[in-house]
Amino acid sequence: MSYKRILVPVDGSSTSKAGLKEALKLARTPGARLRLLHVVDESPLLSLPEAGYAIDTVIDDLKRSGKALLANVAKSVAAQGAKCEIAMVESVGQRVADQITADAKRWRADLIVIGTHGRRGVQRLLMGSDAELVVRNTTIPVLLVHGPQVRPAKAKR
Amino acid sequence: MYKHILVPTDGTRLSDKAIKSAASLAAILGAKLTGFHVLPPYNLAISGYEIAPVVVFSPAEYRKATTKSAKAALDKVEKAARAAGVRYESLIVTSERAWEAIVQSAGDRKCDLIVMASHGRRGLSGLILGSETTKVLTHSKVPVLVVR
Repeated sequence: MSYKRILVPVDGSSTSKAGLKEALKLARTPGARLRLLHVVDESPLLSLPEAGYAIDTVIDDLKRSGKALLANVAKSVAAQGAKCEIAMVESVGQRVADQITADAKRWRADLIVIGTHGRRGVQRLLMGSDAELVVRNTTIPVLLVHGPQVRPAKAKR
Repeated sequence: MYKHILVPTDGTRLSDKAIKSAASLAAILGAKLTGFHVLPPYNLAISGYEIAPVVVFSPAEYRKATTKSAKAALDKVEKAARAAGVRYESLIVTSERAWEAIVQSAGDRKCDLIVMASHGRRGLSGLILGSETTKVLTHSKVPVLVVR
């Protein structure tokens, strides 16, 4: 059993890059292909009253940057000789993790590679993140890759 | 790619899944497989010494029972490794905290991947995994493959 359909969520963070790096190694096996998935996370906007009148503009911006991110990552993946496709979904009121597992199921992924910790949370609370939720919510094998250690910002004197 | 895969097992059927994945992955990658089992240290509290007049387990009996269960758990890994035709070794570590033992041993043995099941159970005979998985995920420096 070798992994052939590898789903990699990308959000531009350093941890997500660590996940992608690992996925690329696996994608070198013959017949393997990657799917780069970007979830446009609208949830932070919904809690901002200011976003109310301009929410569509902001979401459009998010989509645009998501698209640019995917294109960028796809280019570097292709440059390294791996086959990949890109996909973007909106979180539409769902958790990012749910969108990831749903997409994995739809695409019939046989592996999800995900960097921990994604973007939220305190440095020490590494789990309790989207990555952990993905592990909990899917029966597909998940490869969790640690991103570079984040050091707490030093106090300025 | 991965050269040395650590597969912690608690002997349960859930671990079987991890063992199977680890063995076939090792075969594809030409990696070595290390079966790993954590034994909780002997502890009077679990022997019932204080609540019952009869000591349920003496240290020797405890060692015998846990060694037996560890061997049974690791035998499965060896069998899978043999069937897949991969190099194999086993490791038993006594520790209060399974996750710590797993993370540390992965480092000591220079493993570059840990394969684990996502839920296990806890019990007397060294069956510690599962909630441990989360802690391993949090602390491991090497990638962790979680299977169900």
